[in-house]
Amino acid sequence: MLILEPGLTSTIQDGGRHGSQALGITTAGALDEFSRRCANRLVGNPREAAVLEIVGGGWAGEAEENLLVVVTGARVSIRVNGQTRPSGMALFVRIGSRIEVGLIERGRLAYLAAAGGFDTPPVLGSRSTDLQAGLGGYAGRALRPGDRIPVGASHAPMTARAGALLRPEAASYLWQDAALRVLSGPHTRFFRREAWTQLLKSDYTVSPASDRMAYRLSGETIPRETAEVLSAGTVAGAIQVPADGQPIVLLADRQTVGGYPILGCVVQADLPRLSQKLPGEIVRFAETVPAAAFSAWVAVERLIEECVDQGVSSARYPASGAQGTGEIT
Amino acid sequence: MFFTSPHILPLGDTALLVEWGDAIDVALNARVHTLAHWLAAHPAAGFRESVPGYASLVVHFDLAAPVTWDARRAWLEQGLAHAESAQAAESRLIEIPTRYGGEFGPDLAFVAEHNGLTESQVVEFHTGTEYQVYMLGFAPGFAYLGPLPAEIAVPRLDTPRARVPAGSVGLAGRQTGVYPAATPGGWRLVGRTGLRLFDPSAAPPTLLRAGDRVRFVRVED
Repeated sequence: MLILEPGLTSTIQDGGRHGSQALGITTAGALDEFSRRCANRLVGNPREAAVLEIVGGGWAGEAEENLLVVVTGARVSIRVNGQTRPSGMALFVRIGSRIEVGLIERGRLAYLAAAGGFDTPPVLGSRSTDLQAGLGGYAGRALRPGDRIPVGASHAPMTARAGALLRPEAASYLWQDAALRVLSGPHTRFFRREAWTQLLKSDYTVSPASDRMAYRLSGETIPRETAEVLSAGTVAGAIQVPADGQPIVLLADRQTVGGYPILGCVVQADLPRLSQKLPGEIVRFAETVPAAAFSAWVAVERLIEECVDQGVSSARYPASGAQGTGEIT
Repeated sequence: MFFTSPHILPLGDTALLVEWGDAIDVALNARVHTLAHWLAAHPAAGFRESVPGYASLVVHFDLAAPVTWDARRAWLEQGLAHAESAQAAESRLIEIPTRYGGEFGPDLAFVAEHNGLTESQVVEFHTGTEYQVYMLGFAPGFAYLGPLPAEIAVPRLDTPRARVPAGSVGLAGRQTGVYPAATPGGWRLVGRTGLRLFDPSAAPPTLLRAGDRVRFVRVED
């Protein structure tokens, strides 16, 4: 895939670089793992295949060979050679075609997968881009016009999968207007008792100073004791509260250890919804318990397993370039 | 300083946090590494990695493994029980050849003046002790070393430098460390090493790991 325009910013991401956090190497990986994995299923990729994570709109690329691509995540307008195509549908795109991921109608992050996966050299077991350390992805950096991203061999004939569609249940998962579920702790003793109730009853606004390391929230100050904690390991979803009392939710590019106290942690199942919030949007938190968090995780895994509707594939409709097959002539 | 017994607390729904105490202390930190070694040597199903802190260890799990949280805790308790009686894991001593002062250590003069010492005396204090690698963090291969002798303790820069050369040796509070790559940095720079602290294509990719001991060795030009 030749990158023509990177959009606001785009990087290559897979499920993250696991196993090296003790060396100070963050996991990186897709902020919205749900959309990345659904995209891979739609084009028949293995789970760990790397995709493009596109922030904002205005992305354009050229297929340098025949490709099967799909865009999931944010609701975006997609054009292939100027023709509008649906998001969430596996599209067979011929060599030389121009693909545009344009105006974002809802959400923040679009995921573009190609059958075969984006095949940049893995670093320490992962193709994810670590922007701070300059590792992985394409030359360890955000994509630029002129970058050529190798695509691996597809595991199945591409035309057979063209037209596969993201099921409505999976497509609507990101847009539920529900609170983000949080487990309390572990630094409860560093906060006043009111801090937890404050977190659960307030609306917080996503700040523009939000990025792949963390989403910063603004709203009612969370009361805390003055002590810092000894630096300790972090997780994606951890809600840190620095001295100014404005919560920070750590994400994929967080530093591996941190010294701000952690009031609670957003459950993994709800990180995709959080990641799709734009600056200015509101988030709310609701308390949950470990058993419910695990049930939520199981439910999301099932949704991903069953996210593909093959019903409109070209196996059922004659290949003719008509809308239903996803094939472009 | 030491908790009566270590705490095991959930850190979200994918990790457990083990905490031994609330102070930066070599003996406390040694417990962290003893458990980390045991867990790596006796991995439970779904164990992904553990991340040392000063007095804590975060243990990350893959939820796809068919293991309950009770079983994960029991595994950690087993490790802690062994850690109580186990000898501290063999720790390596790594020497770091360092050029002090001048263009390599632009803050050496400040450290000397701040503590009423000559630059030579600062270097003697810095090289005269073994440091514990408490943990790695902040950047790949960045090791938090201590305790720094009180005689050469210094506050951080009020305004961090936008760019600190790779290999720079710095001091802040009662800590010392080496910047593995050119990054912004707020520590006081006293010297520079030519050793490579992080190489993603090497095995292992970092020169130092948590639990090592470090000694700085003065190199003359």
